[in-house]
Amino acid sequence: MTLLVRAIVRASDLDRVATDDDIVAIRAADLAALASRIDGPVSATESALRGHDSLTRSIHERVASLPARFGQLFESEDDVVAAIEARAATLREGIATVDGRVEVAITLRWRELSRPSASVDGSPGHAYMAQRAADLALARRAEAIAARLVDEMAYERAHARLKTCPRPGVAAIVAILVDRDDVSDVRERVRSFGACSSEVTASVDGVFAPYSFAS
Amino acid sequence: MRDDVATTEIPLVEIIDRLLDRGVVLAGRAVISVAGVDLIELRLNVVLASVDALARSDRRIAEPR
Repeated sequence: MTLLVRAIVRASDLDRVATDDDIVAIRAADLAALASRIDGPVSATESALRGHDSLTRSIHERVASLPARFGQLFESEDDVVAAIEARAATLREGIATVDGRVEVAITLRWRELSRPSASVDGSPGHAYMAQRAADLALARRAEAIAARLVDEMAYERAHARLKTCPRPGVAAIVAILVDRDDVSDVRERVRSFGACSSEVTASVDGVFAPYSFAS
Repeated sequence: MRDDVATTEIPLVEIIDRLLDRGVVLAGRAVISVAGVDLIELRLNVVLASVDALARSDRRIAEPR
């Protein structure tokens, strides 16, 4: 039997989180881990991932929490305690940052362009370098659009995480840590940004537990 | 919840990206398997990353500021 870590919370909040046969709380001073007891290795199946996402979201709806990256197993509660104690200051700071906030993910998709094609006559090496340069230019363009979005959202840059050109057709995915009460407002602003942009459309996923702000 | 024009379930690709690439990391052991095959097992300091995350990490190492 091993422990699959789900989230880190303040120990003082444990009475607001439901624990049962599936979820155990492991205290480490003023912090605690919420974990599931499982047999054997963990498989990254769709149901397991969606289950982890659902569980961490449910925990974060009740208390401030740092969702755990999926797949971390511990042999014993003592091992979990030691791991938390080794990072206690950082974990405390992280929980304070996400307290009262949730993560939303904004996806910016190119309206027309999926990937620039560099038409170059010459060697394969030259063509490769030209394509790389075109990709880099596209990434910079995506970064500029995403930066404009963050500015228009009037959120601190420290509360935004940006990934440019994660896959074809997608200019950027911007994770933003927003106050719970502001989620509807954020959605409206994103909708407005996408409607006004000639380059990208904008959509919002979430809310999520604050994965992008819990590393 | 997803807002565009319609509201749909969160895409699996977003879930994978978020859960395997982000989130708090403690020291531990990770065994990730897909379709019954153990793909990776790491002990002590866990490093789980998508291909994209590893590529970004490589770029940061290759292009120090």
